[in-house]
Amino acid sequence: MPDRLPLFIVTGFLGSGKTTLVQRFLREPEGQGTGVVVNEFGEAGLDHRLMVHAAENVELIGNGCMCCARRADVGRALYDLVRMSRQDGQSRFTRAIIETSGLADPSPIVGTIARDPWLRQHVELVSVIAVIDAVAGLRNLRDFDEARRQVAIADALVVTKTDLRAAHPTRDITAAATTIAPDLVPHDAQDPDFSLARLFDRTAGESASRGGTPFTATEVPQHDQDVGSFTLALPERIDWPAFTLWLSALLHRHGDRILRVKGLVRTSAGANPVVIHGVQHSMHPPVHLTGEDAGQPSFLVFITRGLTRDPIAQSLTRFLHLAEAHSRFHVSEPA
Amino acid sequence: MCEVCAIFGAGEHWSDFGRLRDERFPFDDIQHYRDERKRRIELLNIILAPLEASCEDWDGEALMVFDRVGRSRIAPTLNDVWPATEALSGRRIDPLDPSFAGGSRHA
Repeated sequence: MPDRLPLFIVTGFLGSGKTTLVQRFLREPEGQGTGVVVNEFGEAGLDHRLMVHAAENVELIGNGCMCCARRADVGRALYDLVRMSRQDGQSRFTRAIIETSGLADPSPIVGTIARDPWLRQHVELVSVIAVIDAVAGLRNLRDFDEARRQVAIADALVVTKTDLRAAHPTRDITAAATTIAPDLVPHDAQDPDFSLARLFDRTAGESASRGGTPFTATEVPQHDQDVGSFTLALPERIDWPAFTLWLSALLHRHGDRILRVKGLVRTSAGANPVVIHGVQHSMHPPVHLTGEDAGQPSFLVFITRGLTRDPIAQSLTRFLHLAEAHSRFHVSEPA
Repeated sequence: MCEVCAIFGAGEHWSDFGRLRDERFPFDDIQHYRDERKRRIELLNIILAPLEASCEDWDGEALMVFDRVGRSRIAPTLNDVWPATEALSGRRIDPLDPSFAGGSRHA
């Protein structure tokens, strides 16, 4: 199988500085060979030879849930980029970036890649990068659901415009964002140590999926429609059949309210833990951990809207007890 | 391996057992995956029983869901089992329902 094209999704509210960030990266030597999919015609300034426009066509499939919408436009644009990257055996593109529109929910894009067998074979979603500006970002997070959803599914957060006089302190923005998504890896775009090359590096996803910062979800009080996060501690070794039954059923019924689930799980199948990671109804293949990362305790982090921890924890316990009771019954059964 | 379809039977879905070992050829221990898959189907059948539905393996790769009169639907992955069961049984599956999966009402 040929190498998959590394893909980064850059999301962020209107005026947050997504295009500026992408432009900055394209001007750097490491930015060479990057194909960009933009689904907002209003944004200008990118080199058009690198750009594939995607009109915002969303097809709703299945139960009509937004995260199950197929972004036919994005799928088509990625297909074109992959084809171009393979042209005549030359690698014209070695990386792809999708810049979403400011009001877009990025989860249908993630879902489109996860569900399309061809895209799964040819594109590797490395990370979702949320851009938030230090001037209006806090207000946007407070007032706009779209802004919260964009942060909720991101792996990395880039705080822009921190040098402006009206900017809020970066730590306040980061604190507000990590209240929504506790495992976000924050960056300050004005920090001299901030490296776009590292942000858009193929291995960035590994550190993101392994939790560049420790997974410590803030147990925020949740109201019915709020986006919030919580952690579930897992047993040392989890029963994989029971766990997968539980999680797949949970995502089937409540995937539209589970903006993101991420965790580290030890199973009876292997010595080292695996990291699991899903956005709404779509789960990514488990990532295997080795070395130092393997020592972390098992847990799950949920970022939800209007779903609280207790019913989810009780439901998991029920499934695990069922499996335990079944295995006891199984063992005592005459051969 | 199914000799007709040349299917290995460890699955490529996130929930499948071939994904659980970081090995290029995780099929050395295919019997382990088979046993775990069998156990998952047994658990699934306990969960589906109150909905008057059942589930069988289909060549170690897909699942077949049946209702009480024998109508069936193929579920290519574990994710597809739930909508298939709902379509056949006309009942809504909700793992957060305290009576679901061995909860008090079905105990």
